[in-house]
Formats: sequence, structure tokens, C-alpha cells
Amino acid sequence: MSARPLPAEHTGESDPKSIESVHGRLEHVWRNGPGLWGWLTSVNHKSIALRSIITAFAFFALAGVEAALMRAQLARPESSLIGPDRYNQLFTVHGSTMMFLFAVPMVQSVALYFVPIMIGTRNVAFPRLNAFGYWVYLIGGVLLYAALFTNTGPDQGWFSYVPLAGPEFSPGKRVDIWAQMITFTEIAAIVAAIEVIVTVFKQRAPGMSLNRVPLFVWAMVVMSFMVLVAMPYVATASMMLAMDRLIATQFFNYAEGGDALLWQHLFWFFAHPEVYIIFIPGLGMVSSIVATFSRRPVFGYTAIVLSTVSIGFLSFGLWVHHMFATPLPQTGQSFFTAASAMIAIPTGVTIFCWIATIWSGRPRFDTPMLYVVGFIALFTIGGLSGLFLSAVPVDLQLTDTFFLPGHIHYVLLGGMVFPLFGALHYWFPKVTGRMMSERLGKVSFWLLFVGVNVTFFPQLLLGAAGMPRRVYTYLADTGWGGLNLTSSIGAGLLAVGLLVLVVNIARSLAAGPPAGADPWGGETLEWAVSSPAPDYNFAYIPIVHGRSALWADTGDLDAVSGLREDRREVLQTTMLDAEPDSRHEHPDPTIVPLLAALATGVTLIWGIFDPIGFAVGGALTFLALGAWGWPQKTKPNTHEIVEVPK
Amino acid sequence: MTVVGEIPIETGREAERPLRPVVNASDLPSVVYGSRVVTWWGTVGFMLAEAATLSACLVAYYYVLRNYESWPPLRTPPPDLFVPTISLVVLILSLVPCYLFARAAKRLDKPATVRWMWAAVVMMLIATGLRLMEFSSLNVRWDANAYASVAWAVVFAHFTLLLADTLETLLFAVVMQTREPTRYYSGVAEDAFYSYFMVAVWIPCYVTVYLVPRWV
Repeated sequence: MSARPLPAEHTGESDPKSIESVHGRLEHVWRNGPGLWGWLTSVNHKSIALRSIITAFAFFALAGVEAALMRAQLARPESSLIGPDRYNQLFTVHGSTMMFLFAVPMVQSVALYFVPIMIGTRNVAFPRLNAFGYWVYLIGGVLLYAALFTNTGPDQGWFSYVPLAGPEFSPGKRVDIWAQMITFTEIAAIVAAIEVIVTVFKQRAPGMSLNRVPLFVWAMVVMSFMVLVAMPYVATASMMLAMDRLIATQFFNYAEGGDALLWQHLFWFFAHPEVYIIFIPGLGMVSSIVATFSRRPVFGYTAIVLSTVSIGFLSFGLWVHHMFATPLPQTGQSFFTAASAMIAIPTGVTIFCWIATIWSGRPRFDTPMLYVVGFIALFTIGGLSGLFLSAVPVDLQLTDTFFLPGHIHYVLLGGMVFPLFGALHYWFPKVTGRMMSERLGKVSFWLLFVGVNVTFFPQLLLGAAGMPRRVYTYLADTGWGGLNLTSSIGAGLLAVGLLVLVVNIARSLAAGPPAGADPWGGETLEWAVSSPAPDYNFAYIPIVHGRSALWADTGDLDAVSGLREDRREVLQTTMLDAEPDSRHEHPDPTIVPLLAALATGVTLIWGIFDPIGFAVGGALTFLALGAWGWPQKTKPNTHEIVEVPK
Repeated sequence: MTVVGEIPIETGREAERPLRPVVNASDLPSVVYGSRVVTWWGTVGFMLAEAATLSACLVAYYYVLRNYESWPPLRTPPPDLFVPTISLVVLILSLVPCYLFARAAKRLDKPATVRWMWAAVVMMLIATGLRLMEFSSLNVRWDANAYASVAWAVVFAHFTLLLADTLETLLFAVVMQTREPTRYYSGVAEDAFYSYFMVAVWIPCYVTVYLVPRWV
């Protein structure tokens, strides 16, 4: 290591009094400001990630209500509870919310909360950018729901196929609001992805070389790279759609040489990786839970890392399997069928590694582990239903039937929501300092597990029977009534399961038993600090001696001192070997990210109605960014050590 | 405490783990350059996302091209070459002051840094002005047909990068002129790094929009 060792008198056991004063000074420097202003100006990764998680759950609840309304409508034939126009808005906003306002922001927020603590640093690499990302996401979400509540909700389906979504068949502003919501969420997603990548590459605890990075963190890094490549495609496509509608460009207008299939290519080049952007973080969460509850490190670390990376790459070669019902060359269809099958290999390797871990460990089946088992079961059914769709002739039969909603819900509830709920039960003690009720946890798990199957298995059967998706009702003599009623009863079970979960959260927040620093005996660094973690995460930056940071050292942890305690300073380490390299001062709380987000909001929302909005809003955004880039007031005793490159 | 294999694993712990300082970081530098600094990696991240955006526009261009028998479409003149080529040359030449201010910034040489930054700002402002003229060099309005739309999309998408980079360099120049915070020197060097990228990605766009219609 390049840093010099401490003089002899400073090493050894820390004096408890002195460590308390270190905590006190760091607390003073790192805490948020008081009151509402402090809330608006926070740049702390945990504050922002937590509010982002709560926001994403709120959108999840709204989308759940939309789903419940749709199931109520479909429970019996020829129901008149909801009319066709409202129904179109409901399924479009439900899908768009779940994809863009719940799933991606949620997995990224979980990453932004835990990655910095797991790798032993005090904050994300760009704290203000992080705050900016949250505000932009919030504005985008509020825009969509303001539209829905004023009967202007998008109604063209969450993948917005043209020509239906084009100016000719969707007049009004509904589709424009959808397109701009996409822009907001893509900005937020790209920002969060850069945060994760740079924080992991440059701020790992000394000793945490790349081959010791926790699997959860690896998953989040792979997801983030995928976001950087995939999200710009949907942002560009939705901008083209908005321009076709606003200033009469002809990207998708066949009459003027444009192409409807261009939309599908651009959209699915994003949206297929999107499935894995949502699913790979689930893999990371499962790896954390499996290690802790099997009480051994995950078997096959290298195999899982390589599998995760290869899933990331392969997922970009599959998008055309969403387009098998379009006139594609046969070679193309065969290629994408093969590529779709190939991704089973790394996924299989990962699942076998977990099974080997559970098999050779001493597993205990607390609620988080139950969700892992539930995930494996549901995801397998999702995968098997996907096999039908990967066969081109079968796909032609099943396209646009209820088989698709059945399949995607098995995959996403199994692959993302179940790991997420496992992670919720697993990390709740760390975030709140209190344990959740195991009994209620198990009750809600079983309700949800049974509920998913009762809701979505009938949908697979309905699809096979030919019931189209996205219809607001059906005739009695189709014979689809029984299965639809079953599916709606399942949705009721899901609602009850979620309600029990909410009750469990509320009760535990109010009166759960104190968790202590490490209730499960975890292996990664977040369990080394108190629950919840202090604003600065670590009084001294820990030094890592193995893959399982806390299991490799059972007593005191070696650590790095010498970072300043009178300002926000973080340690930067080298990218591969994580050797201490430099110190970096972080900004204090500031309102500027919120102002920049508001300016971005003005740009994009005004732009829905008039192109001049882009110019005016763009100028405002530049002003906000200027304030952002302007140096903060210099603090006393600033002494920069500059290392001039040779 | 239980032991699995070689690793002893506890089942839970109330208190946080004590940290024992054994290494002192107070002598580490606070201003470093290149891939040692987070902004360099942040810039790389944005480059990746922006390259993906431009690639999406180029994909759209070549996808739409297949729909036409002739490119540009009948009765649509090909774009002019004069202004776009001048603009390309100015852009490439603007990298010279960029390189020089980055080099000066790494030596903490304020006069040279500021001087070359202003030179870069002037050249980039000229390039931005030329880019605005380029839209009329396309010889077709964005809404004429899909050819026009994709050509405008490529030029406009890159225009946003050029504008952002110009404004960023301008901002940095003002800060360095008036404040000169030591820690900004590394950011100044990253700004030049971004300009290299911005000019490099323009080259395939230039070839696509201005030369391909003359070749196919």
C-alpha cells in the first residue's frame, strides 16, 4: 500500500473515548441539514436511496390498484365496471409504471443504498448527481399519474407500437406524456448506473480487489453497464416518436419512407435487456441471502460472476424474439431462437451454484430464504413458459394472447419481486434497526406464492385457449369465465398477501425487536456497522482480507485512518486491486440538484406542448448546471496535495 | 459460533465491529488526474450512454435507407459539403487548444490553462455556429420524408453534445479565470478528454450524413 503506516502509538486497540469523539465529529460533518430544507438539500446516498425505494413502492401500490381494477373487470364476462377507454389507460399505465417507475428505480435504489456500505465507503461517487436523479425520476412519475388522474393517461400499451401510437391513430397528448415519462426515467436510470459503476470502481475498501467484490455488487455493476447501453435506445426511440407527433418528422410513417418495424427494433433492443436489467439485481440479492442463510460463502464465485457478465452480453442478442410475428428473414428467426436458448446456460450455472451452496451449507429457512426458494420455483415456470414462445410457430399462435401476461408476470414476479421481498426482509433490520415478524413474514410469503400461481397460471391457459390480451371484456359463450374468475381470485390473494406485508412493515417499524448490528451473521461489510448505518457509514475505512469480509476476520477489522473529520472526505482506491490512492472531498448539502431537476422538468413537460419549451428549459437547465459547477465556498485549512503527473 | 469448512461463522451480533486503524491515508494526494479520479470514470460512463444514443440514430438512418430505391429520395438534393467540411476541420483543430490546456492543467500552470481554454472556447463557439448552418446544408426540411428525419436526427443528436461541451468548457474557463480552485484542474483535464470523444464520434456521423448519400 502506498500510504504510510501509523506511528506505533496509534495502532492497536482504539481507545473507546477517542472513537466516540471520531463518531461525533463525523456525525457533525456528514449529517443532513435540519427540517424540510435539510430534506430537500440532502446528498446522502442512504437518505436518497430510501426515499427512492419508498417512492418506487408507492408506484408499485398504484400499479397494483390498477391491476386489481382490471382483474375486477375481467372476473366475469361482459362486465361493465370499466369502459374500454379507461381499461386501455389502466393496462398501459400499469405496465409502464411497473417497468419504468417501479422495477428499474427500485433495483437501482437498493444498489445505491447498499453498494457503498458493502464496499466500505462513505457515499456514492457523485452525491449531487445522485440527488438530481431522484428528483428527475419523481417528476416523471408524477407527470404520468397527473395525466392518468385527469383522464389523459396513455392508452397505447406499454410498448407503444406505432402506427397505433403515431399521430394518426393517437391524437391528443396521451402518448406524448408516455414518451416524456420515458425520457425522465431514462435520465434517472443512466445517472444511477454511472453512480454505481464509478463508486464500485474507485471507492472500494482497501483490499477489496475485483475478485473479492461481493456478488450482489457484481450484479449491480453488470446491470448498470446494461442500463448505459440499453436505455439510450428507448430514450432515442421515444424522442423520435414524440417528434413524429410534435413536429411531423417521419421516422415511423410508412407513407413517407419511415418504418413501423424500426420502432419495434429500437424498443426491444432496450426492452429485452430491460428484463435482465431487472432480473440480474435479483440474482445479486439472492446470492447475498443464500450465503447468509446457508452459512457459507456462495459456491462457485467465479462461475457466477462470469455467468452474470455473460447474461449481460447475451441479453443484447435476443430482442428479435419479441418480433417473431413480424415478417423477419428465417435466418434471423433461427439465430434469435438459438441465442434465446443459449442464455439458459449461464442462468443454469448460477442456479446450480446456489443449489450447491444450500446443499453443502447449513441452511435455515427464515423468510428471506423462503422467498429465494419461491423465486426459483416461479422463475422456472416463467422460463418454461418462455420456451413455448421461443419456438417460432408456437409464438405465432400465442402472440397477443393472455399467455404473454401470464409469462411475463411469472418471470418478473418470480425473477424480481420475490428476490426483492426476500431482500426487504433480509435488509429491513439494517435500514430500520428493527426486526420484522417472522410469523407475519411467512404468512405473507405463502399468500403471495399461492396468489401468483392462482392468478397467472390460468392466464397461461387462457392464452392457449385463444383469449386475446388487452381486451376489456369477453363474451360468456367463449367459456373463459371460469379461468378469469380464478385469476381474479388469485389477484385477491396477492392483495391480501401484500396487505399482510404492509402490516408487518408498519408493526415492525413501530415495535419490532431491536436488530443489533448483525442479526443474521452476514458476510459483507454492511453488517459491520450499527443499524441503521451512521451518515458516514464507517468511522474508519475498513480493510478487507478476503471475499467474505466479515467471515475472514472475526475480531476487530483493520482500518484506514487519516481521512479528514472536519469535512466530507472519501478514500479512493485503485480500480483493480483497491489500494489506497487518493482522498476526495465531497460536496455539502445543496439545493442545486433539485433546481436542475426542476429545470429539466420544465424542459421536457413544456416540450410536450411546444418545441420552444426545449429552448427555454434548456437555458434554465444550463443556468442550474452553472450553479452546480461553480466552486462551493472554500473551507478554512484547505490543503490540497497535488500529484502532478509525469 | 459455528464453523463451516475453514470459515467460522457467527449467527448474529449485537454490536458493530470495532475498527482498528493500521494505515494512515492523510498523506495521500487530493488532486490526481486521468483514470485515478472519479470524474474520469463518470465521463466514460456518459460517453458510453451518448455513444449508444448516436448509434441508435445511425441504426435508424441505415434502417430507413433500405426502404428507398435511391438515397437521397427522388427530388431531394444531396446535402452540401462545404460548410459541414469546414465545420469538421474547425472541430478537429479545436482539439489542439484542448490538448494544450489539459497539459497546462496537469502542470497547474494557470496562465497557460486559461489562455488555451479561451482559445478552445472560441473555436468551439465557431464550430457550434457552423453546425447551426449545417442544418440548412442538409437541403431538406426534417418533415419532408424519413430520409430528412434521420439525417436531421443524427446531426441534431450530435449538436446537443457539441453544445453541452462548449458550454461546459466556457463555464470552466470562467471559473479558472476568476477563482482558480486547485481541485478544478483535474476537472479541466477531463473536459478536454470529453472533447476528444465528442469530435471522434462526429466522424462516423459526418461520413453517414454527408458522404453516404453521394455513394449509394
